[in-house]
Amino acid sequence: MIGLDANSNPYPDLAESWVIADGGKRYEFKLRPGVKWHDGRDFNAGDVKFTFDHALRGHSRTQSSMGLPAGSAGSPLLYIEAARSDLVVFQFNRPYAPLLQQLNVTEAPIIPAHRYPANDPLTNTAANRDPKGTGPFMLKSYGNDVQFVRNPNYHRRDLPCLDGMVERFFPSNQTASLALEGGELDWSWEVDKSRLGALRANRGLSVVGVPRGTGGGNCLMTVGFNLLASGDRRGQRQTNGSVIAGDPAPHPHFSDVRVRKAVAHALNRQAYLDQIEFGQGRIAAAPMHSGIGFAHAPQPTPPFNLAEANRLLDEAGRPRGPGGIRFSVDFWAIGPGAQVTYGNLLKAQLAEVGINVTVRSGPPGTFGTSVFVNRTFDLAIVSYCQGDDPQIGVRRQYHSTQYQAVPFTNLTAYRTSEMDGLWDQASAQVDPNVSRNTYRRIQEVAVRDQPYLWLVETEFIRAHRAGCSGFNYPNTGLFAETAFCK
Amino acid sequence: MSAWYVLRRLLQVIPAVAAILVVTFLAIHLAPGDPIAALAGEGGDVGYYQFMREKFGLDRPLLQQFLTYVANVAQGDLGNSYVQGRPVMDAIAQRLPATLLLMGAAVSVASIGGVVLGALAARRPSGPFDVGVSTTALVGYAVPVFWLAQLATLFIAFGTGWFPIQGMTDLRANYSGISHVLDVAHHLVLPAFVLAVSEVALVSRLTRTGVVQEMSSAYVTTARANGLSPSRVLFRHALPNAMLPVVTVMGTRLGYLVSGAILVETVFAWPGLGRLLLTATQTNDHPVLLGLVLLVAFSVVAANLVTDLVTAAIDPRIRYD
Amino acid sequence: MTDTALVLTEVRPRVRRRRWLRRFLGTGSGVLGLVLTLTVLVLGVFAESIAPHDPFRAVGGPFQPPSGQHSMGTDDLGRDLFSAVVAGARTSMTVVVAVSAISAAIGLVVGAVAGYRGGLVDDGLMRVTEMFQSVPRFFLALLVVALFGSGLSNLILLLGVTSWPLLARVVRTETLSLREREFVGAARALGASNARIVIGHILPHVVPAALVIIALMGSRVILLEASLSFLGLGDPNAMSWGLLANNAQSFMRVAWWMAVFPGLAILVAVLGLNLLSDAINNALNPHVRRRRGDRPQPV
Repeated sequence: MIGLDANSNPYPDLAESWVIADGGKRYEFKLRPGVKWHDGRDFNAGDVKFTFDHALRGHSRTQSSMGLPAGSAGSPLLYIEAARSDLVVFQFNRPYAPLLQQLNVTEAPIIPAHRYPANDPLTNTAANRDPKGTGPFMLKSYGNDVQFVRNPNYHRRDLPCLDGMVERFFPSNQTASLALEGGELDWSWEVDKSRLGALRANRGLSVVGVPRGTGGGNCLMTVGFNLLASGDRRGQRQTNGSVIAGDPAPHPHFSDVRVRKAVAHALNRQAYLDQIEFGQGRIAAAPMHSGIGFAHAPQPTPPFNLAEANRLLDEAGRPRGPGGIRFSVDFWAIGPGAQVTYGNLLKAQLAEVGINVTVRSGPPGTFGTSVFVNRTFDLAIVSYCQGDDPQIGVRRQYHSTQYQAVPFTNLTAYRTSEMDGLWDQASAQVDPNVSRNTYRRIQEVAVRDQPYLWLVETEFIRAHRAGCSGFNYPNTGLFAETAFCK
Repeated sequence: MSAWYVLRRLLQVIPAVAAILVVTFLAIHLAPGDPIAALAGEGGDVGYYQFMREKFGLDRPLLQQFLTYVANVAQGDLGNSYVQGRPVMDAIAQRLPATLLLMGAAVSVASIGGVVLGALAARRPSGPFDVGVSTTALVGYAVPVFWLAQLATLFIAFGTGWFPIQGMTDLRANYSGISHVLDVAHHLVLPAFVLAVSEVALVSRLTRTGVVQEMSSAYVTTARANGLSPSRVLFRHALPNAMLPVVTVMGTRLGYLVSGAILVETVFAWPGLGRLLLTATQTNDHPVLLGLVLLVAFSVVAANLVTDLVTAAIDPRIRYD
Repeated sequence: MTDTALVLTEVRPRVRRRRWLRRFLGTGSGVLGLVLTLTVLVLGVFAESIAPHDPFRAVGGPFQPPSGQHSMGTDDLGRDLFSAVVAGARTSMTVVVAVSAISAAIGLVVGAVAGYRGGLVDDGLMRVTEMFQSVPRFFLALLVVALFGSGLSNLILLLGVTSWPLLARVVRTETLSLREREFVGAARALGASNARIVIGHILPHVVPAALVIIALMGSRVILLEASLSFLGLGDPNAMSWGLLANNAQSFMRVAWWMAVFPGLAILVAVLGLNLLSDAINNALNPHVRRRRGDRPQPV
């Protein structure tokens, strides 16, 4: 609907113009005329309403911030209305600040309502296997490779430049990087990061680090402490809205803030940046990503200090036992892959202060079930992609209503009325000059209570052959809209 | 080969197939948690689980579930992959040809290369060529295939540029006809040779041992005494007779070959069953995983059967023990 | 290469012990196999004393090439690679020994009972053996890891209960031939129980032949474990050669040592066991005879 430029400022895309009324409670979007779906049907306002009502309610970022489905208990969103075929209205019950930041193709790709007569985009695999969009390239086929062809009816005349694209998946990063260097590829999503220096020095290649891309932006590698006893689910909200009854037991170690601070002191965050991200990105200076410029407020995060970590652990009554071990915990990561390496490094670092870590990993499904649903973990790492407004991707980490049996919501089960109040207050502050003070306060409280540790702001790597140019980064999924190759 | 032997050998297939069915069925039911999670993975929605639950009769008694499972497998129907949104067998059928091509090429290389090397080595046992081939074969048989594949992509494909680094086709060119065949063949060379290394080692060693034995047997001595040339004796008499154990062993190598192919495909980004399998493990796509396990297991049983029947047909001395 | 020998030869402990040993030690490859296998075994048993560092701790800078300080260099996290390779030997040996123990127990019992009792018992047990022989272990292991998790004990149990059929067949063949020998007859005449005859008189003679199979099985198990870990399905808390090779994959061109040493370790261990198996077999069978033999088990 709306594009975001490199500074996250909105510009017209499928929505030609918009009006914000009623102090930020009402948004009216005028849609671009003459836009066609890839199957030739007209794009219209009903498609936008359909996408939010039936598809995005299944996404943790949109669902948690906007309160989908519209009109549900506690939701700021009253309704979405297709007022005319070219006019969509979002009506909130109180001012809602972040809407313009969550209508780009990354956060809200609009899908065609006419392909889903039963309103079932989450389950209609027949239609999902033959996707239709409004974008610059159309899916032609997928077998061994995925093939795209130029959309001749694309609403931006004379674009795209390329006649088509072929996409291939590589099980190994090394093979992909070799293929890129060997001239077999024009463009690559992620590369062998340990070779960044050599790739950059290669004149035949162009390597770009981007903070935001398709699927998420402003991602921050975050370690969460389970504040509750491992496996205790009392108080957790279920997908049907009910809450498991009873008071949960606190975690034997991590419910003590001194232990959490000690862990923070024991981690040398520079090592994660240097050895896993190979310098690509930066050490997180605050719970909110630096890419959300107006909200990011650097905080005094506990510095790497083993003596202080040991002192805090002694003070918290966790002395070293046989073999120098104070206690043992389970660390969960999505794996195989880089997040397991984070776990291996964390295991090595915490061993120095006598905390014995067992690294456990599994594919996203297993991780989601073990950690977010069954809650059988002590520590876990999540790459929380925060989006372009704290309400989009940070709120879900801290708000009590976000302690749900849903992956990538409130990992630590951190719940305080102080934090809830601040988040609800900020959501209604349309002027960023006002909300930034609320967000600063939120970050101070987060540092004080330390339910999470924010390690590294990661960057995505994109690389392409020097003969190609015109790629769009960051902040858009339309990376090849204006690209061309010689 | 007597009809009695064929019959008994065919009957032997039944317990093997039963074992595969029982073992996989038990694995699903012994796995921690609800069997539906083991059977369908963790990514599905309510409707999908309901479909799989009904398809495999998970609400019925265990014995009945097993019969339903057997019936489904017999029809080649393992339900749908939720991740792929289509029947498991469709997903496998799409990937199978690439793997068969890779394995077929590797077996060809192994048969020809192994027999030639083995026969040449046997001409002068303990000679320098024999020692060289035997030593290389020992190492080739012990080297992990994934490691070899990595070294090959790095030093041969990337290092020399003679062969493509990855994939089955060139990404840019849209070949058809004969140029498409040549393109695929060019991509095939390196992965096929890597996969073939351990098989070449095995075949050359078998051939060598067999030929050495044949050459020392009475009929060869007679033939030599009758003035036949050494190479004629070798290639017309000793070698064909030495081929029987080679055929026997190669027929039983299917399991090794498929698992080797999976590893080679992972390194070379070859679009076969390997990638399907890897994606299935990474997305908990259990129906696909189960389908692959069953496919390979049944293929192994079939390959063993065919090998035994073929060997028996060739060599009348074999009887069922 | 021992698969070859197994197919081609029948294992017969007819040779007297002394000559057997002399023949074994007389071949260079047998001694080499013994040395390689013992090296890996010693590394595994004394891993803690031999490894200079905890393999999971960062003890130096990342990607340090082999040097006096770190003989095999360090990995991406600054962990000592030599210590990791030694710990990998411990893991591999644990898996090999545990799997061998389980399958030796099953294989010896099944083979000895089938061979000694003969008749219907033999028939039945051999059908069960054939059933297990057609199960592809690599794929079953993948399924088990997916369903039960990637713990080392799951893998050991799975490989243990599926790796015995070849052993059982060889033990059966041996027992069949030993059953009719004079010393067994003598023991029987003296009133020894069946169990006593099998344990006291038959099994000791079966051991050399069983060792051929067990060594061969060990080398397959090492490759299997490494392959699973290479695909990222190993136990991340047990340092293993496959895990190291998997990790090295991303850094082949930055740190060759990360790929080379674990790969060599696998090669050495597998080669050692293969040579050992081969040499024992050759020592047992000075005159290699051809026969349609036991088939190797699919992976």
